[in-house]
Amino acid sequence: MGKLFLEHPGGTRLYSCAKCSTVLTNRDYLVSTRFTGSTGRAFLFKKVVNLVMSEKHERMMLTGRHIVRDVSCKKCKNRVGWMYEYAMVEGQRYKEGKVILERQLIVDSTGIEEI
Amino acid sequence: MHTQPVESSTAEQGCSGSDNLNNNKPRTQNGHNNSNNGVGTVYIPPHLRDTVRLIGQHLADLGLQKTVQQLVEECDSQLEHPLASQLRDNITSGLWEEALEVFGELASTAESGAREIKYRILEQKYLELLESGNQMGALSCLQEEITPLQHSASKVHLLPSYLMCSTPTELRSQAKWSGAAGNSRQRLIHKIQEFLPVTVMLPPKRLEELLKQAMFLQSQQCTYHNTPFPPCSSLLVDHSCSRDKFPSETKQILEHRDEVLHCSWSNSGLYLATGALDGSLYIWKYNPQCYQLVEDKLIDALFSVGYIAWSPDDTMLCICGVEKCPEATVYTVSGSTAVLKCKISQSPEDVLTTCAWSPDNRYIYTGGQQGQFYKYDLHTSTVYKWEGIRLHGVATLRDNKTVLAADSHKRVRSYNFEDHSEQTIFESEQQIISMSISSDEKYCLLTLEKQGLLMIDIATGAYVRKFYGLVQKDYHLNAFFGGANEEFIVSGSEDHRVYVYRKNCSTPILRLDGHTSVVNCVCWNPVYTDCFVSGSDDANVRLWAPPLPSDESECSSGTQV
Repeated sequence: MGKLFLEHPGGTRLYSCAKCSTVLTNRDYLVSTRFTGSTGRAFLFKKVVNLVMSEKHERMMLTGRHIVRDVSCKKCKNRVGWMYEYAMVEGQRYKEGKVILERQLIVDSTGIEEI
Repeated sequence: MHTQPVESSTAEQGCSGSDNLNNNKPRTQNGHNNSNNGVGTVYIPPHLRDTVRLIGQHLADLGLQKTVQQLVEECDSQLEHPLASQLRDNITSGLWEEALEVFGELASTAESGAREIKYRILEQKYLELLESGNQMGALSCLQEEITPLQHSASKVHLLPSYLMCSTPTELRSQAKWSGAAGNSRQRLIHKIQEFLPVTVMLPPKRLEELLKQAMFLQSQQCTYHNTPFPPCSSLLVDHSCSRDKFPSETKQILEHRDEVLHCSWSNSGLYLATGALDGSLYIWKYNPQCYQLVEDKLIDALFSVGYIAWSPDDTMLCICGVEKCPEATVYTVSGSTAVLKCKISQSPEDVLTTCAWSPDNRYIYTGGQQGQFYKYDLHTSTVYKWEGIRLHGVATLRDNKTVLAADSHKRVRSYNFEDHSEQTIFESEQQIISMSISSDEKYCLLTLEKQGLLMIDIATGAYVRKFYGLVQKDYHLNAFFGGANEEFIVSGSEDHRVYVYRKNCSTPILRLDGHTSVVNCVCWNPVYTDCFVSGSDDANVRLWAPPLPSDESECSSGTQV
């Protein structure tokens, strides 16, 4: 379908979609590794690119009620994680706007030194 | 153009104000001046006097001396200072001493500009003396009049050499001078007109100049103006081009088998290259008289064609893929068939998606998002690398050294592979999808993610204008400058339309319907500027041209904004 425009976030350690290798984010944007998703371990990133988002869902998680959107790779539309839109619990506010990528659904690789 | 001298004391130097040119006699109640017995003179109010002077100058230039005489008598005022008229007459008649004397009265001798004029009058005298064979007179003029002026040593040094010229023709060509019979005297008058204050002597051809400015302004404001500036239309009506002369109708539809991703006209405007997702690349020959493209060659690239660049001499094409394509391919297309010339390839991990030629046809700059930025020498097959840049777009400048590149960090930077210098020209707030530049290298056009187009000034890196209206959310779109004076910008859009903008306005002047899917690339013909083509995901290429009054032409509606 045409020539999709995909951004490249740069960085020396890259995380990409496991299915089509589209680069999604890098180590510099990693906030925390102590999350769990349906497939196991998951990481919280403050910025992830080349995603499409689903509509809002209200979900009950270990840490409380949240409004989240599932996120998928823009290119192959494979699900890669979710993003926090709103945290009902005060102490969970820091997650708002950030994205969780599940470890099983992404692959890491080395980037290049950039100017 | 002179009549009797003005009675008021305007013969001093540096007079100002057009009122000095009129008799300062009291006006009668009916506005007539009594000095001419009140017969046949019309009072011209002060704010209209300059207009009368301009008209008088225009008529005089046309040779209508009697009319001008009449004009001066009827409004009872000089069109210019009488000394200026005298000076003009003296020069036209070749009376150099009188001219110098009059000029001396008009201008203060201390000014360096005055010396230049004096020099010019004497130079004309010198050249005319030489031309008529009076070598002794010329020599004495040079020694006794020109040299003591002590003006412009560089020019004065050339003068003695003209004494060597054996014939007037040789003199004229050596001195680059048109001769006494030519327009050299007239040009001398023009030079003096530029120097003297405008109230004393009018600047030359002033009315003509004003009309030219008006025409230029009208063409700037004319929305569909697609012919060279300034327009050669009548002065009687404000200039306004009709949309009928503007490319806005589909004249032809060319079919590919798959999504058309890129199209590019050759620099001669006679060939069009269109590339598609299935790897097919067609070269079409263009007939400007009847707006027809005919298939000329077919290249089967083994990868999707994402970018096409013609070499400046139109003998070669460089093609880049979409992704997972590690090489840029060069074909020679000047023969009867396209022949593979070479491949620019370093590693199978590379991704090269954009390219540009150097003006001397020797180098190709290519790169992509994986971090490759290569300069390839076609003569020696050498590859020069610039590390650390993820390219989104590249363009070369005429100086054959500077390359502009847009990168993944939203910057437009300039690079010089020879001295390894680089600098950032512009930092955008949105991702840059593609980049192109105008042929005069003044402006750079960026397609921004979701934010329309952005035009920046290359020399200063300043933001000039954003163009919005077109839709971009997911796909790669290409936008280019075009039109007779490169006054327009065309772009594709995800709402299936072709968008046309005027460089000086942020909103589109045309949104053209026709395609049934995302329009990826729109390219304006650089030579036959009344047409452009668009390529779309609906596998069609459409040729757009001015609507002709023919019934058989394929019509497609466009929305005028």
